[in-house]
Amino acid sequence: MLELIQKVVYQATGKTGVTYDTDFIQDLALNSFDIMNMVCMFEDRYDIEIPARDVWPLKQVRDVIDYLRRRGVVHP
Amino acid sequence: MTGNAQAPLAVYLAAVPCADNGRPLRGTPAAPLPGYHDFLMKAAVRYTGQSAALFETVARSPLGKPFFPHAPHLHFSVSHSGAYWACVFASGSVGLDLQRHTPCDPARLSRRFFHPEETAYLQQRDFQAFFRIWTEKESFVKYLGTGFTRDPESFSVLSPPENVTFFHPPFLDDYDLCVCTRDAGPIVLYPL
Repeated sequence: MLELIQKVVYQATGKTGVTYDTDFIQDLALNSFDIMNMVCMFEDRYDIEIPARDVWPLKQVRDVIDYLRRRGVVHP
Repeated sequence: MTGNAQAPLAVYLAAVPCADNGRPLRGTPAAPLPGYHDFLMKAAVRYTGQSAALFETVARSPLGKPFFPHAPHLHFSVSHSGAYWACVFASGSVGLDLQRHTPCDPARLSRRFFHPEETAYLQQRDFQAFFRIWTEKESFVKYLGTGFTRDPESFSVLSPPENVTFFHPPFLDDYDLCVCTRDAGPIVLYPL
């Protein structure tokens, strides 16, 4: 799952060096557009809808992984 | 200038040193590079002429809007994208968004996050105005103080529910910069 997030972050923002502890705002300095762009990529990849209210509490990469697992997403 | 209804909207812009991987450079503990809070403090001091001590602490409202607890009547909004950071100060509520023209799928993003009226407008223009609409939407929710806790598809900036004006001060060709406010004053850009 970490590799997938690394790929999505790179595709959406060109940023690298993502780990489980990476904070999207503090460490990568992503803005709202970057995050919404990534949300679309996750939605397309897993055919789910991620409500905006679910997005903003997801601070770190590990939060996204936990969230996707709770939504039933299993990355091969 | 605080509280002066005739004051112009003051936009401050700073270049952010970034590494090759796009991350902002932080410097070292002994020689840190200025961060976003440093930019904001510097801009607030220039705008108000008051002591930096007033602006050392930034708090957030329950919906995430930043404010200075020691100068709560100072209206401002901040944004960053690519290699630039920006903020605006005004005499009333104000929202600002800066966005680099990042590679993306504007049709997909519009269908997902924009009001149908906005999407139809963009489709007629081959999505050329995508980032202009995006920055208007984000500056509007910042003006309201809600951020995107307000669903972006629930309103259209082509007919905004508040009596606001969107200003697009000229900036670099590959960026859009938008200020949302009810003030009608001139906008002045200052480098930091």
